[in-house]
Amino acid sequence: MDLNLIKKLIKLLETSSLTDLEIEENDFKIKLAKKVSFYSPADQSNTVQTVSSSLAQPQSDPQTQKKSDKEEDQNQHIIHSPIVGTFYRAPAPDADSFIQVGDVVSPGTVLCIVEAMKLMNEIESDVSGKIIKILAENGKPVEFGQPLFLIQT
Amino acid sequence: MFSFENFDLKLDTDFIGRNFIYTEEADSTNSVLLEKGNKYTINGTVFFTEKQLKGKGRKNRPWYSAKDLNLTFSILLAHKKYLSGNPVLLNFAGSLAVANALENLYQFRVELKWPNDVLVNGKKICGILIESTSEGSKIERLVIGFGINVNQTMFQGSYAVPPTSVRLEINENAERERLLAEVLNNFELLLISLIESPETILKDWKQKCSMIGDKISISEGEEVKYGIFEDVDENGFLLLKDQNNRIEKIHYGDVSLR
Repeated sequence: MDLNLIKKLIKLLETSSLTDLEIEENDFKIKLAKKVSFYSPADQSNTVQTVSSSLAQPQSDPQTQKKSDKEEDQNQHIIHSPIVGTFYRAPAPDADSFIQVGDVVSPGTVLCIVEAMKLMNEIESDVSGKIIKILAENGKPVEFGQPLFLIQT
Repeated sequence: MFSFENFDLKLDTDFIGRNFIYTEEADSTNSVLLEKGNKYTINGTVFFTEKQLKGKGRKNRPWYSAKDLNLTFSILLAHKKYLSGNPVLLNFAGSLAVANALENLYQFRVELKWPNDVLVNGKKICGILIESTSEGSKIERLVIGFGINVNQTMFQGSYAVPPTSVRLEINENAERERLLAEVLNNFELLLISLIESPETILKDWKQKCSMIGDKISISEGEEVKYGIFEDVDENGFLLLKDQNNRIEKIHYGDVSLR
């Protein structure tokens, strides 16, 4: 196994617009994938992680990767409401919204509050990305599991 | 001065309040416990303060409490066992814990007001605010903040529901340590009951809510709704029946008798 070759392939993938790269030659099989993100440091760590896991299980079924891509719907992440309640985009009626469409968020960025009775639940992003759609209306009821935000990761 | 010995003697829980943090002063006990990346991670941690500088209720309304006289504390729930069910019903478990404790120690006739106020003789003796954070679609941490009026006798300002305290009702000083332990003991039992049979919590709460069946108004901002307080549903939401017998599910708002 040529480590230098693998390093070159990683570099090639990083600098290209490709998101997946799979090479099979005799006994050697490698599969690389990167997540499209606005943060290059996150890209690198994702790429490296995928390489190491692919090397550990070179014969692993490519179906797994395909399946998770499908679930995430081409790098789009949905945040769902954890409770039934009322959806608020701002901490108080006269305050600014936590976020707007087009904002870049990272894990921990506060997105909204869902209130049910006297339970105020603050929802933070669990991914890095860009808000591409806000799927609920301010001050209106939301159901358990209802999609609230669409984030391009 | 708060006596830890007396509190510890009366505390009969497995995990609620076993990690007990006492402070002279804090901004908001809820905010301290909920703050991201803080050092409090033990499920059931109780954070207690003698003087809360930025106590708050719904919509950041202020909650005032005199120093050294009351019980101002928050309980942290961080174990997914207690967060995976219906956390909204913790409003009922929290107010029932206070109601049971006040009945056991002082034989008060306690009434509960939707969603979680505790009243004695029609006056408010305890307020509760629950706050939680979700990362993505899952609740990770939740805190239940309690403000119980114990030995305060003067209340300044105007209130939608007039306030009272244990002392005002029994005409003598109450032992805060004993009341706190009793509330926590009851809360732990109710928390377990909430997982095993949430319908029991609903039933017990409804028994103490005298407003069910009454004509009420619910206000939220400038919007006011009128109707009959028909019932609460399995999630604890208020079912309001309007004059055309249509039922509306209410998630929030201030309830008054009409």
